[in-house]
Amino acid sequence: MKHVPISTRVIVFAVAAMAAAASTAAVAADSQVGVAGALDKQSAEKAFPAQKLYSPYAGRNFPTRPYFGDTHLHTSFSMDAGAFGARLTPRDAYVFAKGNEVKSSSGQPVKLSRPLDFLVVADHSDGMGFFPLIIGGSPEILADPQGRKWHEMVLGGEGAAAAIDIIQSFGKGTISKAIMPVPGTRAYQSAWDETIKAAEEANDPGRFTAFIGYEWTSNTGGNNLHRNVIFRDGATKAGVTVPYTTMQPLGSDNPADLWKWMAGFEEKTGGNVLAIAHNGNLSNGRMFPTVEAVGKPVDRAYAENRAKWERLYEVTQTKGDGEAHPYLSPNDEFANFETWDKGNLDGSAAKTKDMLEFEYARSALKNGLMLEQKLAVNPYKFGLVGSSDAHTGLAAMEEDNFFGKTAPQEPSPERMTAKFFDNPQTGVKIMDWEVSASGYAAVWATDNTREALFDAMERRETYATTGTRVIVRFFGGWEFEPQDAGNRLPAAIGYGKGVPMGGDLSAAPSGKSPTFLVAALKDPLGANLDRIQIVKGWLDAKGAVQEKVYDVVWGDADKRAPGADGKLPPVGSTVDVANATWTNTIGDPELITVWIDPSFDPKQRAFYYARVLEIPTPRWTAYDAKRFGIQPLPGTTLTLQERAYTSPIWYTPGR
Amino acid sequence: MRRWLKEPLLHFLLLGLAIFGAYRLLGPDEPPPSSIVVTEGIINGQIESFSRTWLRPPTPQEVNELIREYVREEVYYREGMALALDRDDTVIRRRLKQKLEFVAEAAGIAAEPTDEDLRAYLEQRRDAYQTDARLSFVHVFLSAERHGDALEQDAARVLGTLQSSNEAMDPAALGDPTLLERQFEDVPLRDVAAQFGDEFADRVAEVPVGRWQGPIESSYGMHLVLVGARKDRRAPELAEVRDALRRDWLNERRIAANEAYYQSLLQRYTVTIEGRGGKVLDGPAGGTVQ
Repeated sequence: MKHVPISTRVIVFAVAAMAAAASTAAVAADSQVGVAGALDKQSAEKAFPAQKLYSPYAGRNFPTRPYFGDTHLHTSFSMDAGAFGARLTPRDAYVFAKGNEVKSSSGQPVKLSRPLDFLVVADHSDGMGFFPLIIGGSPEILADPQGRKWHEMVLGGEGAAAAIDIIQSFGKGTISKAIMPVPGTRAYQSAWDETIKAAEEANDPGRFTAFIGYEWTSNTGGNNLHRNVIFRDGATKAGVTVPYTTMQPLGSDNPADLWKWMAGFEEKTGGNVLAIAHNGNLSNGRMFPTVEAVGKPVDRAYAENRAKWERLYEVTQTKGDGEAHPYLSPNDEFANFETWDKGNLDGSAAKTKDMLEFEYARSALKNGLMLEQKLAVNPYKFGLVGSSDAHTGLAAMEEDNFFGKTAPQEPSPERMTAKFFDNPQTGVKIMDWEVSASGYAAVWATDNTREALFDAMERRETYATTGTRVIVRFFGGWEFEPQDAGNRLPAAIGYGKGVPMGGDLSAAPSGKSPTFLVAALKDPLGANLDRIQIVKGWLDAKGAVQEKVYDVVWGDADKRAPGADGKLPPVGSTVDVANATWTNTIGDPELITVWIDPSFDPKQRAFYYARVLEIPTPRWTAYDAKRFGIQPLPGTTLTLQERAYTSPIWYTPGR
Repeated sequence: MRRWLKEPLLHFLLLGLAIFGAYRLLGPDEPPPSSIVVTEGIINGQIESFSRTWLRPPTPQEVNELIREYVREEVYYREGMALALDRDDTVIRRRLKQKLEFVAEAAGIAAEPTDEDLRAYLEQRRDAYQTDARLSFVHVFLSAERHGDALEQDAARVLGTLQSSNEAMDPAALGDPTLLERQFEDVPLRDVAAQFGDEFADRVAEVPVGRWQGPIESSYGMHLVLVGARKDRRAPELAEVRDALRRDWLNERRIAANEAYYQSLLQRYTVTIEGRGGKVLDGPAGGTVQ
């Protein structure tokens, strides 16, 4: 670590500026000087190009903290959620995500340990028209005696009586033609309008971001190809359209048609949308095709569209984890995590081993390299996020505060022993205890706004967590040196000398191997860190895909080192399952290192992503067993190592 | 044998069969088909849906397809209803309930709150709308891992240096590297809590301003802090929280309208509980059964 003499004015600036709180420019000047002082002059100039900026903020426009949220939450507006008994609306979902206490569908009070930073309510909210706002008092309504009567009843506080009268009039066919709504017209207010309104109300730029979004629910044959569609824009743009559906002729169950719809929206409105593919572990081999996609060949057009519209992938959620599968990654002792590999979404078809390759993120990233070689475009160049897919209106994914996937799976003694679904014909059975308290999306954005978060998602500067709020930095470049890991401002040096997660490296300088600066800081309320790993995938000289997992830095480094087999011994466990407790007496709160790929070949395509593991902690099932006094069923998983997966950094050889 | 040929009942049956057969051969063979009328209004509705989805009007071919699909759906819908397939379908029952709730809510929200409404609402909930406490601070971090048993001692020493120092020093140089941000400017206390933990936030909210203080412990290690400015929580002016108040006020009205609507509908029914000895479990339904 270098200690460089610092401008003598730093502390003067700090004290003077802060005491006089108005002088914000001076405070920022301090941070500029501080940055310059911590780097040597040369690298400082590299990090902050030498122009003289008037605005002291302008030189430091990289994200300083990740924002945590959920891109995939259902409320009672989703038909299936409502049928399961969800009562919370999009409004309630936002109120809850902001850190307020609400009453769950099962009547239990619930609150997050701390607020989320953003939320996408992604209901299947199409096709739900209901009665018009007759009471709104438009001129046509007021011109009609019946309309005027109801309008006045409402203003006079007799809203409920008016509603009954309206419904009875509909029933008897005595409603005036002048104010009678026609299906499909604007007179019908739709659930989509309500969804938009809820997001607009909840959106609070700088403090909390409420995205407008929906889930496109292609589920033909029970094979899950869902996509979550997110709008960068507000109501003025999102409100002119309605969610794309899956039924012909209006909609389609083919993702290629969804992309057409997305392109049409952008072209017509000048707005922006992106789609996040739902965890593919229940797609029965259809999420990441390499030969044929929904009856059409996987060709260059497919690759271009998929890469353009699906910049992110949901790698972990309540229906299991989709990073890696032990069958595909037999040498990865952490690959078997919250695995759901019995069948498809509704259990109507069982899983076979040959499907797995086309369902898990790591193998898709590998096959993407192979397809890029063939098609010149990589369709599977996606970043990673986690999200809940809860159908409760509650993004409550903490192990000690898990409110389940559906309303019947909210906390109760039954959920330790009940079946989630069971198809005797296919033998696909999933127990409630297998539902995973996961996950969240972490986004390195410059600000907590729709625009900044969306843009960060587009550049894939994101990572997935299984519910923890661990902070992870990951940079790749050609010039990182071991001492960079001791730098006081890892972010400044990371952005200065490399690209962040989701970025690209290409055309290796002669004789150089890629270097990576990777760091993680534990969740302030959570568990210490076991280790950081870097997962490398590449296309070898014969055109075959390969993978390797490297332990690059770990906790308790004074007590453990990789053995003869190259494997780092386990971190151990402090979990007291019976009492659902643990202690941070093992592992480290913070890990940082610089890693150089030891077996780099500049002619071979590759990707690298970081996986961060926490020390073992109690799983939600352990908390339930303790709190409800329930004996878990044999085979119930009761501890876990929460984790984070960063978006990859890709290496592409030069021409 | 002969005897049963003379049996009148047999004659009656044969005659009946003959009449029935003649009717089958000569009479109308099926009940008249029900009619499905696709009105201009319905077609316009279909076109409107299409246009809103695709942001362009459908081509004539697409309109034909929309109409064909509408007819198909209508046929299935009517046959399904005729078979009463909706009756025991949870999804349909809950969907219909939800639609009626929307009606009641729509009725309940039409009137906008006045300033007096909002002021009264705020008056009852002063605490809930308090502004966030905000503060500006810098901190020097000492890692628990790096300092081990000497952590507290080192923290005291660094604090001494910070407090007695003149200007010629970078505070950060006294501490350890960390991914935590070093300097926070006018941030809400809850953001501090989200990044450092609640205990740290509680303590940093209370230390004297303008002089290095600490050490304050977080789950990462020790921190020496210099708080520059602090704004305490306070009761807000109406103008500052008008949007939130309006939202919450309307939401409350919505819920109340829904409940009032349900109660008024329930008046029209007598509910008899036959199971469980006629008793209803605790909960909202408990008080409303007549």
